[in-house]
Amino acid sequence: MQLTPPTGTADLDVLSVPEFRARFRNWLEEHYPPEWRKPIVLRLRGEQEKRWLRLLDDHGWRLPAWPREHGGLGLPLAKQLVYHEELARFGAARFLDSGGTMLGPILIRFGTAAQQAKYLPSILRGETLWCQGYSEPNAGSDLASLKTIAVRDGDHYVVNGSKIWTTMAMDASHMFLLARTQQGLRKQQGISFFLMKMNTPGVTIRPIENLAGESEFGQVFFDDARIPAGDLVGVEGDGWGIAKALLGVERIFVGSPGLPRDAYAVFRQVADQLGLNGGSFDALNASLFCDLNDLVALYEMVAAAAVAGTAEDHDYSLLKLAVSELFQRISEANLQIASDYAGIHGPAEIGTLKLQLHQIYMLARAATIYSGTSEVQRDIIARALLGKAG
Amino acid sequence: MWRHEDELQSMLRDSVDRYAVANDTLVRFRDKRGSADGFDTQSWRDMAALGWTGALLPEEAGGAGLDFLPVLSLAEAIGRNLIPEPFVASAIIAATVLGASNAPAARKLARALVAGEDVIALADQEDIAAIEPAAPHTALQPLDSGGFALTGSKIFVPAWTSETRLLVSATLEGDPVVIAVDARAPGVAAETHRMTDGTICAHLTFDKAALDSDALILRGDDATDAIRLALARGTIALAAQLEGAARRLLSMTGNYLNQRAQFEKPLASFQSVRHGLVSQHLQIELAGASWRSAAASLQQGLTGEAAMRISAAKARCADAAQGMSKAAIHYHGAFGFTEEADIGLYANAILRWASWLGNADAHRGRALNLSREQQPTCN
Repeated sequence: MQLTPPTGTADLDVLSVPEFRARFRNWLEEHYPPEWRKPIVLRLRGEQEKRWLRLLDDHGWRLPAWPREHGGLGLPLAKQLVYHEELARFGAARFLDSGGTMLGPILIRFGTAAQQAKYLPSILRGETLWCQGYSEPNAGSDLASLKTIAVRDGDHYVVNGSKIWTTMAMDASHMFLLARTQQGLRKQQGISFFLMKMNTPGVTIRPIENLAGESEFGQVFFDDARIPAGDLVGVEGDGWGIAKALLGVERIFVGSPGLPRDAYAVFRQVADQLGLNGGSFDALNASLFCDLNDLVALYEMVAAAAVAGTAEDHDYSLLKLAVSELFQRISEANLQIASDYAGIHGPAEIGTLKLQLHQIYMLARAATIYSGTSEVQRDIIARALLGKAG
Repeated sequence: MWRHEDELQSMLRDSVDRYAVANDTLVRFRDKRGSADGFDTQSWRDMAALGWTGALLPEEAGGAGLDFLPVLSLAEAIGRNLIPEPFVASAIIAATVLGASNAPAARKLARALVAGEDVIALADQEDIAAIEPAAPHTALQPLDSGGFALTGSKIFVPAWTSETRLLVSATLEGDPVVIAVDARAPGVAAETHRMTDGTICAHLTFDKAALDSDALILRGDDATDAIRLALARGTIALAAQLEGAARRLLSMTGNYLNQRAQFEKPLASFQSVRHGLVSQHLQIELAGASWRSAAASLQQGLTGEAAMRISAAKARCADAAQGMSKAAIHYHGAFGFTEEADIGLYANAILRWASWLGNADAHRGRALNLSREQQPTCN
């Protein structure tokens, strides 16, 4: 099925990059729900996320990276970067949109026409929310050691096992997952990529509360859960390659300096409210300010290289490493300068502001763990610097 | 690889790399660092012949009139190859001051710089740890006989040789001025110090040094603006030089770790070593992005934002290079601690470059102060 492109996409082509930036910025100013603006701890989920995705779609702003024949905006990377930068600069709440950013490109590349017709329109409209079923108990960063199995039984696969650290597991209507369909091969082989409804009989979900006080992620158990064979994506056994195919230029978005920049804005708010200046505070402030300045400079250079097609995998790893570690450093500095307020659980009322110092600090803990730990990123960069570990 | 260079930039970089290989630059650096000048006047003329000393000077002054951005490729490569001749002091800072003047004396010096016949240095700094241009106490007194008498003092004047030509900032009847001074003139006294990059700095005292009236090359805002721009450019060029040196140290250290085996494995295969080197690499990548971003900002004029980015760049490049030199010594083990190891040449040069024109702490503080009007943006 061919979808009609949203009204105005052809329009976007004639705009220069700055004009495009201005148009999207204006739209945000006019249409963004004010209650979602600014708090960096907020990530939209469930009905909120659906409402936001629908709003984007209604106004022709849905899915900058998807090609037009599949209903996306089909923007070149330079404009995609601007799109994400503007969301961050405006202070729009974060949203995961695994369906739009992760699954969509996979289905577009590896899915059958029937799968595309069945799933893509509802992702565009925000009618389905997806979660990613990759991580498993005891696998950690060694994703390929996954043990969930899927056994063919007539026109179904029967799935047993468990996924964990599944972000938005409680909110998702669907999951895309990796499961082992053949044993006894190299661990990256014999893995297949499936689509599954969360309300499939035999699927149970246990929320896991995190240190930031949220239950964004959970553990999902499969107990003879049956997936129609038509929901296998690509060829059986090719799942690892399909999952990895996405880890290209998209990784630039993980390196965006939005979170440390927002955290530094909070740092300045704390300092203003407490009237801090001079001495060791200035030294700390100067160092964080320069860290952020230089990180933004590096992000812009790598983003430009990504647009030119010259950025490499280890460049993205470096950005991810730098961004997550700076986010942590700033979140720690926030607590340090807040002195007694650092011990407050929940929002701290400092002067005239309510600041989420504790939650930001805890949120930042996750940054060096998700999307490849800092150690995994360092291994990738070290291979480029020094060759294989031998 | 995110570092992008256009054709001109890669041509300039190549020219330095070829020169460095042909002249065995590390051997030469080791050789020259104890010599009278700390560099070689014949090599300075060779570099002039390659067009480096006049790269930034306007065509009217006999130079190549290149934009500042490509000239930074020279600075980066000069740092990477550890070339001791005073490129930043003379071909960037002094050249910028000379380029701002149409006075015959300035044109004459510019031609001598283009030809590599003279080494020229700006003598501006009067206070320790100063980053901003001096508000000079050094003053010119008009003489009844015509000409001026110069009185005052300057510190850490770079690229000092007995024949260095000086561009001295001073005041004349309340106006800021720049005046050309022959270092050998009566009334000029120099106290010299060997720096860790092998070059000589001088603390100068002027005691009624007599100067011709045509030695005055800039006056008023022209003088102030020229010095501000010269120091801004010099600071970025030094940052680029530091980043170049740091990158070379990183690759030297990587090669060494791959060659040395211990416990039956190459040192480069140990994860703690690999991750340690990645941390240095990250700082160097930030350094490279920071000075390039500062240079791009300066192209729009010497605004508060450009000044802020320049300071951030100098701070990052100084710390990244110093961090890398410490790591290089450490990862070379006991050999790294010897005088014989070439990494020590870099470690020493980096100490000087990191402290010259304002060290990391001072520049970070300045960046913060300037940022109170600016926020880092993401365009």
